[in-house]
Amino acid sequence: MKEQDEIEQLFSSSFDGFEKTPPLDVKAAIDASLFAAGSVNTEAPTKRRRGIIWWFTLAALIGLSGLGGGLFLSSRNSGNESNDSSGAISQVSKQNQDLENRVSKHNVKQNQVVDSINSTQTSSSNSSSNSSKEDIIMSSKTTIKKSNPIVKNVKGKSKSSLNGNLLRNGTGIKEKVFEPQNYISVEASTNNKLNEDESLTAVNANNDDEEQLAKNEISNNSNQKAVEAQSTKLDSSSVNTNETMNNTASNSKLPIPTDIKSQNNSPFSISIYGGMTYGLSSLTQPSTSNFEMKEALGFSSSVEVNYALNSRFGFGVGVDLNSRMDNFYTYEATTDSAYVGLMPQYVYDPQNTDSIIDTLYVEEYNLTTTTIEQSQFIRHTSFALPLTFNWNLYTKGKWNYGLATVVRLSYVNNKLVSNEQNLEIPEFKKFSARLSLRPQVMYSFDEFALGAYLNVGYDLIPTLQWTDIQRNRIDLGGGLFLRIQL
Amino acid sequence: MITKEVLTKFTQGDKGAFDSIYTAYSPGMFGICLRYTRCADDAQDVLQDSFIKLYNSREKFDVNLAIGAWIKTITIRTALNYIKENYRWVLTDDEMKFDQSVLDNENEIEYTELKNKLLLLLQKLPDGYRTVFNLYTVDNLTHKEIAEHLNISEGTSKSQYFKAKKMIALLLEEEKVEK
Repeated sequence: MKEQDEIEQLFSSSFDGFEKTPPLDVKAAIDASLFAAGSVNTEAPTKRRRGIIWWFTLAALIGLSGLGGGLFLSSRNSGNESNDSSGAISQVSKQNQDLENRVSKHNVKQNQVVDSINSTQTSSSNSSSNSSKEDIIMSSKTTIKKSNPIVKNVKGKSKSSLNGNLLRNGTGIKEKVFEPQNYISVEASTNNKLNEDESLTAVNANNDDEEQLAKNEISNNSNQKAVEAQSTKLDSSSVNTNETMNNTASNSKLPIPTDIKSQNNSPFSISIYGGMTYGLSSLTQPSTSNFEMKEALGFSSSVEVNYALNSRFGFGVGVDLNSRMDNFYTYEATTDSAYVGLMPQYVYDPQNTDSIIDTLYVEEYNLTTTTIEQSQFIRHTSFALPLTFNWNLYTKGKWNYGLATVVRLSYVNNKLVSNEQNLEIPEFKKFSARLSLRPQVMYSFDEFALGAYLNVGYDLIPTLQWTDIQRNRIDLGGGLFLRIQL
Repeated sequence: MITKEVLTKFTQGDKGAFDSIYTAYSPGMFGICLRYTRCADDAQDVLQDSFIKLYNSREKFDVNLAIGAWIKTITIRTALNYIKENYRWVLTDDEMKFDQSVLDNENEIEYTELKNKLLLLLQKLPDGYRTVFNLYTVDNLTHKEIAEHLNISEGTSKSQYFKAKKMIALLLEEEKVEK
C-alpha cells in the first residue's frame, strides 16, 4: 500500500508542470490546416480509423433497411395483385353462377345427356348448332371431375394459356390472364367454396374445349366414329377424375406444394425464434489456478427477416435478444482435525489373549475436509444482429429440413450480480461475435410454418476477459419458431 | 503571458494571438500528449488536433476564464479520442503484452531525466492501464469521472488502475528507477 502511494506521488510530482517543446513541424501542420490559402479549415487532417465492428454494424443496418424497403414494396405489389385477383374472383363467381344455373337447368336431364351423346352418334349429322351446344354443356357437366387434374397442372407448371382458358366461359367473356399466385390467393380466400369454384371454372374450360370440338365435328358432319371416340374419351376421363374429385373433397382445399408456394409467393418471410440456451465453457488458466465456469439455462429469442434467393438458398437479418447467468467459481479445500475424545486401547496379555492387562487412552481426531465454493455471478444480456445464410436441404410434402449459418454481432451488457471472496472481476467487453450452425425442421401450412431448431455456436469474441484466464465457450440450444410467408 | 487583450483577439480569429497561445501552452500540452500516447509521433498528432480544435472553438471561449485549463481539457479529450480511434481501445489485462513498437522507440528517444524515464515507462503500459493511470494519478480525475469519460464501469476503472500500479512497480524494479 505504501509502495503504491509512493508511485502515485512519484508520478504526480514528476509530471506536475511537465513540459516538452514540440517539434516545429507540428505548428507548421496546424497553420497549414487552419490558415492555408487564407481560409480556415475546420477539419483536422488526422486519419480516422474505425473499428471493424462498426463496419459490420453499419453493413447489417444497411442490409436490414434494404430488406425492409423490399418488404414494403413487396407487400404493396402483393396488395395490388390481390385486388386484381379479387376482381377476378367476383367476375368468375358471377360467371359461375350463370353457368351453375345453366348446368342445374340441364342437370335433371343428365341421364338424357348420355343418351343425347349416344344419340349424337346417329343424329349428329342432322343436329342443329343449338342442340349440339346444349349437349356439350351437359357433357361438360359430366366431366366436371376432369377439371381437377387440369387445375393441378396449372398450379404446378404455370401454364398461362390454360389459365386463360380456365377463366373463359361459354358466354364469350374475354380471356383473362390468371397468374398462379392469384390463383393461390383465390384459393386461400374462397376456402370451402374452392372445389365448387374450381369445378365451375373447369366447366367453363370444358365448355369451350368441348364446344369447339363439337362445332368442328358437327359443322363438318363428322361420322359416328368420331362421336363415339369423343364419347368414349369423356367416359374414361370421368372415371379417372372420380378419384381426384374424391381426394379433393376429402380436403377442404387443394394442397399447395411448398416449392410452388416459394416460387409464386413473395421471397420474404419473417421468422420468430424462441428457445433455451446453455453454454459449455473451458478455461485455459495457469496450473496453480482452479477456476471453473458454469452457466444456468438462458433464453434466446430473435426476429429475422428472410429473403429466399431461390428454392435452395436464402439469407436474412434480424434482431436477437439473449440472456443468461454465468457462474465463475473456484473451490478451496481446507482440511481440519476435529477432536473426538479419548478412546481406550486395550493391552492384552501375550500369553492369554483374552486377558486385558492394561488400558491406554489415546486422543482421537477426525480429519474433515471442507470445500468452499467461491462464486462470482455475472448476468449476461446481449442484443445482436444475426446475419443468416439459409440452406434448404430437403423438402418432402409440407416438411422442410434446413440448415442456417448464423453470425451474430452483439452488443453485450454484463452485470456483476455477486462476487464472493472478491474474485478477480473480469473485463466486460461491449461487443462480441458468435458463429453458429442452426439445423431446423418445419412443417408448413398455408402462409405459416411451425418448426423446431437446434443451435450450436462458438464465441469468436468472448465477452469476459480475465488477467490470465482464457475462456472458450460453445453455445448449445434449441427451441421453436414460427415463420410467416409474406 | 497571455493577456486578456490577446485572448480577445484570439476569439476574433487573430492568427498572431493564436500563435502566442500556442507558444505559451504547447510545451505543457505536448507533455500531456506524451503521457497519454504510445510514442512521440502520436503525441504530435494529438497536439496538432488539439490546437486545431482549440482554434475552431475559439468563439465559445469566455475571455474571463483561464485558458490554460480549457486547453488542457481539450487536449486530454482529444488524446482520449485518439486512443479510442487509433489504438483499437482495449482495456487489456494481459500484463505480459507490450507493444513491441514502443520498445523499438526506446532507442529513438533518449530521456535522461527521471521524468523522462517515467514517461518512457508510462508508454510501455498497455493503453488502458496508461490512460486510467494518467487520468487518476496525474490529472486527478475520480474513478467515476474516468468511467464516464471512457464509457466503462467504475469497477473497471479501479481494476485497471490497480493493475497499472502493479505493473509500474514491476517495471520500476526492472528499470531500477530511483524513487
